Amino acid sequence: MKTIRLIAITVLAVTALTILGAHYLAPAGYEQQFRETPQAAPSMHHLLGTDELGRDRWARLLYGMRVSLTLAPLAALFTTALAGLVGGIAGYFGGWTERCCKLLIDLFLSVPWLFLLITVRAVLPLNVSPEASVTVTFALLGLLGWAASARVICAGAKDLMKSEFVWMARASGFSGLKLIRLHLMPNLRGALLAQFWISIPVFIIAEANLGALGLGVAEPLPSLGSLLRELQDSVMVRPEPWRLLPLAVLIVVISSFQVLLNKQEIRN
Amino acid sequence: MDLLSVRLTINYKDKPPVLDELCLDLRPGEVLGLVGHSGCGKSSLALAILGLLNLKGGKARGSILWDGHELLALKEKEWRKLRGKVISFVPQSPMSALNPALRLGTQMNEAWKLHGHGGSDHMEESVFQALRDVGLPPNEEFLRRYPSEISVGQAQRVLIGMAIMHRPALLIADEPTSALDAVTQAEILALFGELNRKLGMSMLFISHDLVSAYGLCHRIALINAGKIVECNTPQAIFFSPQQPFTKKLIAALPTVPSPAEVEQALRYNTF
Repeated sequence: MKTIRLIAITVLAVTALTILGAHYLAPAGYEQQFRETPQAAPSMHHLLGTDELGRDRWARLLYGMRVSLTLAPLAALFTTALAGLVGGIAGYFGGWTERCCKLLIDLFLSVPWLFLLITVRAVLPLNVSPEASVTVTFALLGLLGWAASARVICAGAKDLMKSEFVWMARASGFSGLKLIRLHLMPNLRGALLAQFWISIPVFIIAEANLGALGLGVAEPLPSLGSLLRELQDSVMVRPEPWRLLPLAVLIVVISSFQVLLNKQEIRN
Repeated sequence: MDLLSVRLTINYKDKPPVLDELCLDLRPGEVLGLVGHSGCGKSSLALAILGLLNLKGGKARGSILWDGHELLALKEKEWRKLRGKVISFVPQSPMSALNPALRLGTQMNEAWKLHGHGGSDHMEESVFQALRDVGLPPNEEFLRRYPSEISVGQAQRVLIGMAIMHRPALLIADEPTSALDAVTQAEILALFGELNRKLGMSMLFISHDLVSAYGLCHRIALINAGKIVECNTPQAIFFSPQQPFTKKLIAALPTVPSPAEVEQALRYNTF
């Protein structure tokens, strides 16, 4: 168990360094085109070859990780916090508070958000910078993604409020914030973490799909999502298996996070 | 003067009352057994004395006099000062009454912080004292454990330790031994008796088991159909029961079989 944790720490440290030092590690800028060698195979020059436009894939992966692996966890954190707040309040207070929160959750689950996203795109100026566009996209994802998780948290909190140890805590004089901090939060940790982990890859992929609407990361800025979208061209994956590397990176990084933060669950 | 004097009617929503003008008095330093079958409203009475009945959707009418003060007129904030400090509670199933996600030390420290005053030295001393009081090892190693790492008997001792940490005047124990095996049960009952003598606190011992109440309680009150049927010393209850309900209960007690009975049973038991 210790070695796995050590590996996970190493992976995350390396990832963090790569994200921070993308400037120095990348052999070329993410938008720089090598027009004489498009679609090149990996070589000393281009570690992962080049894409159709002759851009260095390795450089694009480094910069793509920087965009996605900072913004997606931030959005996931925000959405989980929101889910915890709404779900927790609903479960803790019950009664009409719970009904109001459930109404809000149902509303968020049933409204077709695609139209909101299209509207947002229409409101944004056409010449908006890729950085601004990607930030807005992840902010929206974070703002909209909480409803399903909030339901899970609400159900969990409600169960906990009925549990024997919460009654016992009340009988010893606990109430309000102290009760939430000591008796609800530690026991909802698992559920919240699960929601958090699910949200990260979902957001990364969602961002890639939103590219079709002109939201998300605009060319030439790369993101893990836009790199993953290249995998849709499945015919090209077999002759060029190095295209799978972004996917592998995503899996490894998320698994490492999970190994590190889930020690509580392993014990139980 | 009585420490606690209860005249209470309890009902849930619009259903008929579980307890119907039940009258109960508890003297200082006394252990009062409250015996009745499951679902007769014993636990509702405990919740009402702790001021938690409304959370379960129950409604209490009448009066609960504590040292001459009316508890039912208290505000939630005042209740909170009583719970765990003046009136504390030991629950039925020790394993599920401890928070599985927290170390025992954290739970005991937090329980101390609710009503205790002073620095962390003082807290540590109180926690260790509570552990000594209930016969648990007063060391850091034990406090670092999680509830899943101790036995049921130890868990019940931890809960009793948390309940007596602030030296309450009244300890309400709601079926504290029914989840335990016979040996542990006897140990816990002996512990209750010892704590009652040492700390001089009153106890309301709620149980469906007349025998476990016999050795511990100074008086036993039997509940049936929402009322106290008979309230007397254990000797009187066991050897000269007055009411038909009490007689029925005594007659239903299991007995240790005599050698002749065992032999007869074995004779028919042909494997």
